[in-house]
Amino acid sequence: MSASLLKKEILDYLVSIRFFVLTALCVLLIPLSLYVNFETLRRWNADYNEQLMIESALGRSGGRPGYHGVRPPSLLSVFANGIETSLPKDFSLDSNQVAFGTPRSYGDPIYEIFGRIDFLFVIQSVLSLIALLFAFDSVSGEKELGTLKLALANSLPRYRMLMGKFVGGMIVLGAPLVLSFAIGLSVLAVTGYALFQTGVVGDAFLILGLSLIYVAVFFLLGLLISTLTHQSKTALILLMFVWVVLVLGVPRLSIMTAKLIRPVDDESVVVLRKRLLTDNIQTEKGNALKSLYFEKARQKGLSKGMLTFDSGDPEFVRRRNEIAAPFEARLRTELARVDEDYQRKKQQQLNLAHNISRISPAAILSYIMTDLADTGEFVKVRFYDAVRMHYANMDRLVFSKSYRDLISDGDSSWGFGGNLPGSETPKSKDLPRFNLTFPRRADTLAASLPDLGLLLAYAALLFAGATAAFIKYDVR
Amino acid sequence: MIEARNLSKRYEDGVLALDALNLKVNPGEIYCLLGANGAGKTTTINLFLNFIEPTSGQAFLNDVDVVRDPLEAKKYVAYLSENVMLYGNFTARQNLDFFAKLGGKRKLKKDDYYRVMREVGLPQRSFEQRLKEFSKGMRQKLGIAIAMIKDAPALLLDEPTAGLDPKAGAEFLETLIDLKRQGKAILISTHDIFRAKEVADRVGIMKEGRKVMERTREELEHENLERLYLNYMRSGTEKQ
Repeated sequence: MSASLLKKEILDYLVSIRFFVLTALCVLLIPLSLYVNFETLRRWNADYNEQLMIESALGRSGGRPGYHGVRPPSLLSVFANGIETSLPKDFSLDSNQVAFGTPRSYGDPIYEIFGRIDFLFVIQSVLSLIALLFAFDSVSGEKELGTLKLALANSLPRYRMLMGKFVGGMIVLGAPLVLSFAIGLSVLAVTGYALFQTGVVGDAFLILGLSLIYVAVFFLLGLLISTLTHQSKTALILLMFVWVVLVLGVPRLSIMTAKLIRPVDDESVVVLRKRLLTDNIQTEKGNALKSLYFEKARQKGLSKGMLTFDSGDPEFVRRRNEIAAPFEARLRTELARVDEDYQRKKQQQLNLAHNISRISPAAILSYIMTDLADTGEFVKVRFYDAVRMHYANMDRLVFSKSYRDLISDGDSSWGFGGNLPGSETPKSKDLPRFNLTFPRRADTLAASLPDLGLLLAYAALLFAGATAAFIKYDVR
Repeated sequence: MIEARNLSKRYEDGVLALDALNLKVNPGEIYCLLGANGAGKTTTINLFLNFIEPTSGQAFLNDVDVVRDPLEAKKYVAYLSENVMLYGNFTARQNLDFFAKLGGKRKLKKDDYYRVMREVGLPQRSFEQRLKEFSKGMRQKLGIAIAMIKDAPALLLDEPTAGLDPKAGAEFLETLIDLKRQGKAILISTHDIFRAKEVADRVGIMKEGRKVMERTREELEHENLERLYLNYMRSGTEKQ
């Protein structure tokens, strides 16, 4: 690639309206989206800290702080909102289940209707489109101008000309992106964002580097289509079609396709199934315990229709536990099985959707960038794992030491519950608190490596394809 | 030197665009290929530039086989196509600079570009003007300047006078004669019988991919080229 080729490509773009549009969009959208998302993060952080204070106050006042958990918002969500607005922000526990709360919201209904712009969206949709608009006529347009014949009438290898177009195009595409990103980071730093907290600047640069690779993939796609067509109009129409399919179509269609191939019950069905299972086993347990409770009522001479859990009678408690234990063990096992079965099927469906969507570089970008921003699938899995672990801790310390019996007889029913006599449960202040730590950057990168490799492979394939097509291109 | 030996081209659809062409343009000689559209003139030039590969035969530029070593062969040739648009957002000098550098002329100065543009008849005020403000004739003149600045021993000119006004056309012929005097071998594909007659040392008439007639300047002094051309176009047989 010669300096004159590079200079010509850069100059050609710089004096075009396209460069002006690109620069204007980058300078407007990138700093603005970072700032607006930082404002939202501030609000989410305030909510989160308030909830933590309430938890702490509950602990001091003898409440039940461990029964509730709150997910911290990611500091890097300013770059990619990801799952922040779809993953539950908190949860509550009882002896049988975890009830998840609602996700975080942007706080303005208008965003729920129109969606929200973040840096990921700007790169994924806007910059990819602009990259195609930069590349669509790079070969076919030169053919129309007659300059391709003039250039190739010189001893200029075609791959070198294509390389000049790629590098020149990327310099012109990359410069406004890098500049706008720098402005955006400065705006964040000035407005109080913890930019210089350990690792944040590094993560921001990783996100920027990833964005440049993604833009390069779309520029190369434009270059390839341009080398496969002889009219820039045709190239443009083809590229618009490909853009719609890759950016708007595939990521959304993949989940629909996965649902058709691997259908999974809705979560509400699973909740109902668990409730039914609990009711059935509780009823079976109640039936098994009925004679014990009636016997105790007779012993205590209680009037008809009165039953009691005699915590002062160790023999009663022992016999009650002996009868209830297999039912309670079965209930736990069955509930866990329903949960695991649902999670496994859901994960299989999700994996299938992810694999289908990887046809699209836009989907791959989402996976990597949201993981880098701690708002992706990686954090989602960690959150659910952390909740499961917290539940297991609470079960070991609290739930397994409590009882809940439901006795029915004809039209009458009696409910009993509380801590089992003789069992020691921790004090409120000693209950474990839910804690979610974000993954180490090395772990995120290791998890994102296959996707990054795929994105680079797309770039390499597109460049190879464009070179092969350009070598055979009919310049006449 | 520009040379074709039994050069043929048959396209994938079976059309024989060029049939065993033999021609040789020596240094200091202008050769005009005349013929109707589709006669094979542009195919001949495309074959010399290796834009298409011959079905059989060989093409040489400065004794270098254009198929075997296209990049080396292209060092010795400058090219001008019909209706060249060039880069509209660049000035005339920027266009000239880009193509000069592609042609290996890396040490030229602004004055060198201005001199060549003056030689082809571009007005001084247009040198730093953007090409999108140029008329078709002015663009064509810049195309000629691009071909000239490479200073190659061979020139391939495809309909070079298309779009030029009579004055510019006359100036172009003067430029060609000047280039000929410098020892360039010049192959011109054209419809323009009158200018061909004025400037050519030899004229070849093409019809349906075949060179059906060739005359030297001396021979043409005793013949009417227009009548010859029209006769060939009508019948394809040589009539005196």
